[in-house]
Amino acid sequence: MDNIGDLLHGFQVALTGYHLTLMVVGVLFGILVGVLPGLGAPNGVTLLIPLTFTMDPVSAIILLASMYWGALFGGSTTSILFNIPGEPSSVATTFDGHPMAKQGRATEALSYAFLSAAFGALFGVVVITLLAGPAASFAHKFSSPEYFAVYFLAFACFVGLGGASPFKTLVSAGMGFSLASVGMDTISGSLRLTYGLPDLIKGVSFLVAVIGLFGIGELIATMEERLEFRGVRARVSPRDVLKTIAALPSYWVVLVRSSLVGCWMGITPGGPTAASFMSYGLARRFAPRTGEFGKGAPEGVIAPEAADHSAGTSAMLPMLALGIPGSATAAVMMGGLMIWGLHPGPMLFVDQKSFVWGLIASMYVANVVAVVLVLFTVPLFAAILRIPFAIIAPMIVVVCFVSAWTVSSSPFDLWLAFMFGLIGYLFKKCNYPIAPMVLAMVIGDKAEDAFRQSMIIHGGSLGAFWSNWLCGTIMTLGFVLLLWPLLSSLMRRISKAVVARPLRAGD
Amino acid sequence: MEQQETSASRTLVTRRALELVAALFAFAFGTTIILGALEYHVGWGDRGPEPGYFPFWMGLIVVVGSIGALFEALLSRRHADAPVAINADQARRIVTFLLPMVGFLALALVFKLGLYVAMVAYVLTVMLWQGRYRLPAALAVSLGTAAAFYFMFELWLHVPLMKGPIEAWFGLH
Repeated sequence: MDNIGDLLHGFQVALTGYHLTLMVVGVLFGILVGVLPGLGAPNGVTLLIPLTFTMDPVSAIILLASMYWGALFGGSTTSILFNIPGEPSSVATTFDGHPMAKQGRATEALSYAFLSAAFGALFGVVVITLLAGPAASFAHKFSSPEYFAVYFLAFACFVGLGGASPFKTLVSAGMGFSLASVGMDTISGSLRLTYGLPDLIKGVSFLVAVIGLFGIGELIATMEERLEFRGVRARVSPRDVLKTIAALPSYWVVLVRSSLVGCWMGITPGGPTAASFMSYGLARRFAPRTGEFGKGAPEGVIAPEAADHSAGTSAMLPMLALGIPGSATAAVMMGGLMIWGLHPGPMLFVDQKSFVWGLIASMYVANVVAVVLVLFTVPLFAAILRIPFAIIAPMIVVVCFVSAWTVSSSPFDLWLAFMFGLIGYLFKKCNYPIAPMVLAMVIGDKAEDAFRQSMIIHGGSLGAFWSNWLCGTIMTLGFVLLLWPLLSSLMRRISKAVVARPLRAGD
Repeated sequence: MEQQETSASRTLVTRRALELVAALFAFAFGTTIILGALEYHVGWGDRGPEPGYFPFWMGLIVVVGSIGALFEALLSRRHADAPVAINADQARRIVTFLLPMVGFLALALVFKLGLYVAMVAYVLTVMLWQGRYRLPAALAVSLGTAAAFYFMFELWLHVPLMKGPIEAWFGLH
């Protein structure tokens, strides 16, 4: 198999002293970001991107990806010890993780979380390794109409399967696309949507938007509730960890099922948050002792953690092979790739072989590094959370604004980040999904270019998107998903009408 | 639940009102985009869509979505479960969090004192006002923060942050 040779080459790239150091730094920074409320994985990647401008792309992506793994681990730590999810995707871990910690089984809960997370992550990486080659060669057949069709499908997925109100998803995605088209138009060269403001000519950076939406917005939401970190003390003893490792194989069904759910949700843009909830729900439904759920069942920790991490890792596959990120964090990373001058998509596998396989190999190594690091540093990071919020909160704010400054040294960007913060808070309160907006801002230009190029190729006819079976299938699937909320509510109404009658008769 | 309308937990913004605010904001945003797109041709040229086409339709999608969300907010009975979006206590906490932040931005950008001076003032204010720390402790932490940022960004990463006249007196550029 070609993949094995490529992967071995990747390990040669990833296993240098410099890259191993970057992994350790990235993972530690990631855990910190994951532990701190208001800072999450998308935000952490955003903070680092301006600092990677001068780095080699392989080194840069290894740093960013390692940070992502670290953030995922950090998020679960606070869920279990403090009942406060550090990341939206670790909300489901609080359900059983925190009860376990309160019963004095904190070490057990943490070990279960970290080990099943590592299992999920490695499962995801293996899937990427196996599918990366075929997916890329499949995507080689793509031209502009197919690309637009896939972008369309990605957003239709959000509307149809996202779980939020379809109208709110439309608003979020539409806003993202609109913001992406601010500034110089790549095809005609005209300055669009600048409203006479010179600051808008360079466009609205997605980095600034992410800092506002995820950083400031999340912080406002956190400040709204009076936060108190009354956590459970944790010291991870090696003996307890070994005991958990010995017990883990008996949960193999949960592990494998959750990892599969995670992979599916990561490759389709469902994202880690949806994956962890779905897999928690499945675990509860199929558990032999459902009554223990919510009171500290190990399955309730294993299921969301494995799914969360396998979704996080497998979200990298569509980003690399198709240029469509499967999660908000992957979207920010893809934005980074474009800033470094790379073009995400199948050509990456031809032009940038050592970049792609170096990254994939680093995912194996970095996840192992992350588990070891997180197990040893839990007490340290738990101590950081005991620093009073009156000190931590202003510092997070300063970090956010300073990193907004580093994007392009523009004062306007700081006000923009503040505005995005207010929007992020409002949207969070009203359950508008934010991920579609970030995705739209990153791929907006590419989607518009793909649309306009397919129109140029096919003489301005929308039939371009149904000109061959591949493109037509993707587009039609997209429309089905887009109308899915409508279809499913219709079906529910019909079945209700059928069921309701005999019920009423029995009353 | 017992009715306990103390001044602290008084409802300030209802769920429905906040949903309406969000939908109206989205509506205004979409309208602005459409107006901006209309500065260019939004139709179909001989080489396919004109520059204004894409933003125009995206603005329209936002407007349609916002109208849908508006109706959802008006008609939905789901808000009955959680009728309160923000109570007075929460609003006070948000404002005490946002005010110093706006001060930080104003000090740095409007009064052009730069990010370092503004972050010292900001961390100092929050620690004294909300954390009720003593002045020496607050001074140490805020100056330490600025020093840490200086070493990290100016010296280590070579990314200069915005500076103002006060740094110039010290000969730092």
